Amino acid sequence: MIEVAVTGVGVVSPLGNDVAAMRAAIAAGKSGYQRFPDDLRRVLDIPGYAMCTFDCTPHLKRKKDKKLLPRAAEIALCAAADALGSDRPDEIGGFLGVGREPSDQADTGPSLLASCTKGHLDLEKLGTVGVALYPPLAPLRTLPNLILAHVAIHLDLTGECGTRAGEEAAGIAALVEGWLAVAEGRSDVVLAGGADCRIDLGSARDLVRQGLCGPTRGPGEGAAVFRLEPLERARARGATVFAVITGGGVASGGPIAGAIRPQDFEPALGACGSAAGPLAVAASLTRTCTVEALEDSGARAWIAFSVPG
Amino acid sequence: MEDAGASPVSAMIVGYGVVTSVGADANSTFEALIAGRTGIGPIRRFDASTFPVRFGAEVVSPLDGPDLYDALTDAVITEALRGVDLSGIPPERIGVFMGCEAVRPDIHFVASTLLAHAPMPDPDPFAIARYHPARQANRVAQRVGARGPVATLSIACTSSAQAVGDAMMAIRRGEVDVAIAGGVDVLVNAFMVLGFSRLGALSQRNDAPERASRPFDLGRDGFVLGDGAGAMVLASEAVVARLGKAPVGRVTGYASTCNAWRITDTPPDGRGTRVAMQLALADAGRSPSDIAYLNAHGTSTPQNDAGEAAAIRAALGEAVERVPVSSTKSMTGHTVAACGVIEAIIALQAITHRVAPPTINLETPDPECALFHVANVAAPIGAGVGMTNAAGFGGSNTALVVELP
Repeated sequence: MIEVAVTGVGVVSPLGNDVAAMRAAIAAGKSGYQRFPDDLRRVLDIPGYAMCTFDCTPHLKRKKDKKLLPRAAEIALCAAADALGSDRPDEIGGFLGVGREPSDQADTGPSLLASCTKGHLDLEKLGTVGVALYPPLAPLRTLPNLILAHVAIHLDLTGECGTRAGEEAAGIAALVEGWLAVAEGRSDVVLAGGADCRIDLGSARDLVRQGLCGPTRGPGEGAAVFRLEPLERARARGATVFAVITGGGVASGGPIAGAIRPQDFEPALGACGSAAGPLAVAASLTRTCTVEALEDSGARAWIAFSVPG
Repeated sequence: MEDAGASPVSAMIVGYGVVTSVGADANSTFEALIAGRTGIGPIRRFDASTFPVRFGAEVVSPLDGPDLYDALTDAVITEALRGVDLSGIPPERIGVFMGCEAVRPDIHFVASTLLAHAPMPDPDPFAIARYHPARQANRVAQRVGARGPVATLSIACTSSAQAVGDAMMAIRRGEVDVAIAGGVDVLVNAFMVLGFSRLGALSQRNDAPERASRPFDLGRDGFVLGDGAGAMVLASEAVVARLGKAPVGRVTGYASTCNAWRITDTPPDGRGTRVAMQLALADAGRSPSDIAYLNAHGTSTPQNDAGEAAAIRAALGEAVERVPVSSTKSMTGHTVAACGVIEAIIALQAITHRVAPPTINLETPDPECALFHVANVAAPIGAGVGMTNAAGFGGSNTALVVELP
């Protein structure tokens, strides 16, 4: 396998839009939470939400395209562009882990409202009255891959691309796929990471219903994208090498009802062992950090980095 | 890009299962396709009487929503696992790769959550999980006791083709011994039918639904939404003898690319599809002249079919004159996240039985779509490999090569 270097990192977070700013905010104990708008607090018992402040316009090929991007795609685009930097080879791949859907379908509201009779949606009326107001892009906005698709269009990603859908483990699972694409020689440069936006009303409702948000915990949004390329290539072009990936894996252990146990990571470690071989062993002996994620569904993913010097 | 070299390692197919609007299992689906029988008709699942498009390719079922997704997945997994003994395979050596997106939105539910800040209609926390894209991969993993990689690939129309490709690669790299790959989708849904018709992507032949899906025909005017599911059980050559069932095929080549073009359509020259086809053939160590049958993505939209035909011509070169091509979406409709695996299985069935299903309704082939079409009636084919294309909204492309054992 080819050694894979991390040569770019893009972050959009409620605590800042680059790694240094985010780290400084964390070190200073700052919170990314903002107060939830009063009208929404009447609907949902959530104290606040963690919203990012960003502008994706500089990364768009045409400014008018901005209206086509769901917010999660805007966030992902900013992070991906920062990770990519100025060295842009002809063929770039992309792997992104995302949440359930990139949009909350709020734009269907006027059409559906116009199609209600006595407070209930009337399909016959929807076909005659509401249809003209129905947003044509509504079905596309439900496709999880649309987040990466917008990134691909604006950053010219034409290599191997894939979207991993899930919850907490999706971003790292995408990172693992990106690592393998470079390590196995299928791609020279890959952008890989995760993006999600859960601050809209529909998503916040879902999180409350799942018990993931409530009176003491609010929803958030953000993205992190890594640029991955062969270590040899990175050195040849004089790029800064932030880290070298030394292992990674995904696995299933079946639902565990929310309790994270150390042994739940054993299958992931085992699965990775055969993929990374000696690299995974070496990872435990050198300067490394390992990031792990686990979902209630049983899906789990981990990736390990070795930091040069 | 570094030349990784064609790998001689393939993934053996030991079982498969299919449910579509034309058949409740793989054999009945293939028989219907060979007979040129369509599954497209008036929508029965909901009242579409005033909708711009009032037909689809429904799987007839009393179920709907997440329950239907579960039932379709269970059916194809049961069929694919029939006669397969996994008891000798360690759980951590079994992986699951499913091409799925979220259960298509229930338009009544969307209305209830959006209108007038209504109170939450369903306090059941598991209701959300039932709609989640990852649900089917997790259910399948639970069912077979898999503790290896579990992945949900959500890439629109290429989802399940990429699931098969990723499963093959996991076997190649020795990550798993057995991989279950598949996909499921239910597109005959009010939210999707209304939205896609407003987008102008659907055929509007309400007066003759059975003639609506007509890939590569001059009179094509859009695709037809469909329901379906498919699954394959793949195994490494090292363990296949321990599964108690003789392999029925192999997945030997896979590639995916991105167009970086537009969200709703494909580049006219079909470049992303062309590159995916070329890379998949190289991955399999095959040349265009080895292809006995190509199951095209062939959606029946003006843009897709012309671009895909250009891609096929460019990828196959002179061999395009001899490679039989058809689009079975003319009968099954477009099953989006499920179509890739379904059509890979159809390609395998075609090379197994040496007969290619037709593209029905191909009455006046579009000169821009000039290919060696299997038009309207099934046709015998020679020995060789099968291939299938998938191309998705957002600009993703996938090609798979399947072969006999």
